[in-house]
Amino acid sequence: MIEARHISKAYPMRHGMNRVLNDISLTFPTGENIGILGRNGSGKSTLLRILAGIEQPDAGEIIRRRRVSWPLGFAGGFNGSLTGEENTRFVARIYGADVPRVSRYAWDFSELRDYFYMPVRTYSMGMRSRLAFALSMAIDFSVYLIDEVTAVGDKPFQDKCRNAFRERRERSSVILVSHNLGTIKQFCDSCAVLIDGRLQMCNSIDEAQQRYEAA
Amino acid sequence: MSPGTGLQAQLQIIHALVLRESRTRYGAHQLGYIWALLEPLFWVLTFYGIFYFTHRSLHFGMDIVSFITTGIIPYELFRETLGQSLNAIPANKALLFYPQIRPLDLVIARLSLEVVTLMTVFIIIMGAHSLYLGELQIDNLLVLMCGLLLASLLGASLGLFFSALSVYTKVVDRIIPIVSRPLFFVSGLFFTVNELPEQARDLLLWNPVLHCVEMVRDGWFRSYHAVHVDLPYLLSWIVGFTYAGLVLERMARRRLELT
Amino acid sequence: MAARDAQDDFESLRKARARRLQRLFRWWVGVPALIAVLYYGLIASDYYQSEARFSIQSIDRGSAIGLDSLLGALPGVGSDKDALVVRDYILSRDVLTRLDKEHAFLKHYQDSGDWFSKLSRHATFEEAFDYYLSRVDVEFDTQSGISTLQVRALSAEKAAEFAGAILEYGEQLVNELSRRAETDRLNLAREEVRLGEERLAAARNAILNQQVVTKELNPAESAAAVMEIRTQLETELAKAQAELTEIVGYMRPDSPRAKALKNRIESLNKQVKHENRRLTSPEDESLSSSIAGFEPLLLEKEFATKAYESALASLEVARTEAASQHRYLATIVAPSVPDEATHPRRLLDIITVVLAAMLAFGIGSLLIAAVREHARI
Repeated sequence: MIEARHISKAYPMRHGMNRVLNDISLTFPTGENIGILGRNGSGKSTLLRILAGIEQPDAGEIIRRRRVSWPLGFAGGFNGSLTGEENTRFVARIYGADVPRVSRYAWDFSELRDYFYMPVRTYSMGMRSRLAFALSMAIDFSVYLIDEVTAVGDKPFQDKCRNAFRERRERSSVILVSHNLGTIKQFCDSCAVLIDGRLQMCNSIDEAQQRYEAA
Repeated sequence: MSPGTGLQAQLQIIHALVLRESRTRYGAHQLGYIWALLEPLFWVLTFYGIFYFTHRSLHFGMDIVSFITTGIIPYELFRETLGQSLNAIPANKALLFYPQIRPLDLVIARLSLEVVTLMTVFIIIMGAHSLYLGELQIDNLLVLMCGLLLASLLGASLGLFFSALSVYTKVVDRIIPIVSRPLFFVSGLFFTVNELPEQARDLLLWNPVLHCVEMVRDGWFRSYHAVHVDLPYLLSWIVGFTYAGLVLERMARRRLELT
Repeated sequence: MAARDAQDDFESLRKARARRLQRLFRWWVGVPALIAVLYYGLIASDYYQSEARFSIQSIDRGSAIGLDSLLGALPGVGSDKDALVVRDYILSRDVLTRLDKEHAFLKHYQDSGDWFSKLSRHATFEEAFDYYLSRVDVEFDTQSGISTLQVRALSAEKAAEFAGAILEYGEQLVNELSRRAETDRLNLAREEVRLGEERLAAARNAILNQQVVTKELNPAESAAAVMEIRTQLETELAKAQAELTEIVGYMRPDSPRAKALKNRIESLNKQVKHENRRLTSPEDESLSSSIAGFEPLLLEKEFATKAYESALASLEVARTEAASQHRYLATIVAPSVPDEATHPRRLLDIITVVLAAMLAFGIGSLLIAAVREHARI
């Protein structure tokens, strides 16, 4: 379970401050996959980073009761000169997880086979995302923060992910941020819309769609 | 979380970072770690040759290998910690994706790796040399360790300051290499303070690295007493730059987030 | 619940790892620290350090040649090398043997002191020597030329006593070496003088013998006298001949006066010939041959005299130089009698142990982890 309380964030722009997030308060309950719909540049990535804890809000606080993942998406955080396995071991270590177990799970889930033992810089974008996701699955978070899942990989892998999430529904949930409604429909149960720095929870995805298109 | 477990968690993270750092720096090729040893050894041999052929007579009780090593290692400790701290954050930006990794952790990890490596090199060279000579003489272990540690801290504090400063201006990247070149010659690698004429001595003692080198020499050699080491001066450099660096880092944090 | 299990799973793993690290830390750092505190706090016995300072002085530093030139080394700057010679001697087995014999040095360290720092009763001489070196230090400051002697013992008085004894031995060494240097030089000079005397005496004897043999005291003088006589004679001869020539002009050749003159001229001629024969003649008895015999002897006497005089002068110079080269050990600060035990430096040593242990732990654990990392892959 993760909760945002009165989160505000502004960035200095040429013509004054840009209020990206304006007093946002929302509770994301466990067991429910929630999507956040917003246009590009609406601040959804910022919100995700604040939820993850790698960026500090100007005001407000985040209450985290369970283990939260790092923002998954474009597979930052890998060192290109190290192999997939070495990177996996590193991430496992900093989360205090059982290193060999995580390594095995990630190898299995990512389906990278021999590439797992080669430097990450030899990977394609899709392979990197697969590794990142496999890794996050291996570490078994309670909340998965995902930024634009489109980069995950091909359809079969996306299906695999979706199934994996479904399996863990009991103990982990997904917060998915995207500008693409289709993606959200795939993974999420409910949806919120981020417009003009304000986050509004919607009763159904259709309602979210309406609001999003209206803005 | 209690401070105890907090510290432990922090140590584990730094531990992971250091391992990753060492892999990146040294694991790439087979030579890897040996390279860390080779570089100081190279200097030792070079200056051994120069001293030998110029018949430079050393202070009583000093032999060439120990003299060079006690000069090179503290200098390298300073220079490497400075360079690595400067570079730590920009080089590892991607790692900040993980919430438990703070920028400071990146710096500490790099520093730890450098310090551990250089201290090990020091032990290896001096150990081998002592075995060769058949005797181990350390005048004052405490002073020796302090000299090495303070050299590391000096580099770290300056690194902290300059890495925060580099967020605001690119000049830093250019100034550091320019300054470090003459520093090589005036930090006591080739001379001892006691043998300098008075004016040169007073001038050179403004260099804090020189004080570190003198401490290491004092701690190792029984016959050398570094009477001109000014510990408060050295500490004020360290404390001053650390404080300024932390303040600057706070201010620079927002800038870092944007990039 | 399942969620909580996953979380607890990680927490327990993390705790396990932390505990392991803690345990290692306790072993690597805690135990040495504890031992250090116990030892330095409770067990280690007090050692008192007596300090003395000395330097090797000479009266004239002008053309100083080091004492070590006696030992075969190259001559160097006087007092530096001297101080090192003394230092070498102090830190030698000879001094230990003497100290032990005259001041019961080893016994002092065997009888008292804590178990770790005392000298074992069954120690071999080599072990005792190592122990000696750990209790006695001599450091030399090249800039001031002053050597510092430090002796650590279990009582202040004993420390001062040993230090005083060591200084004494050092002083004796310096005097001995100095004296030897002096006497060597003087002996050389004296030998030269002796040889000179002998030569002179031989030359004199040779002349005496010659005088006896030739019955001439000084043939050169005799020859000069003879030549004078001859000259006189020749002068008279010339006078007489001139007179004769003169009276022949106005007197008869057989006048008594002319006859007398003729007789005179004849006898003068005979005398001149006789004198000439005295000066030079083919036989050995002539003066010229005597002179020839004497001349080398006289020359030799002259040389011998000069050589003797110069040897005497050298001896004088050697004496003054030796006196000025004389070295002595000047005690600048007499052995101090400390009123408190400064060794071991308990707090500092404890800190050193802890710091070293922490460093070793930090370095070791990182190295081991890194090696394990590398070995895996």
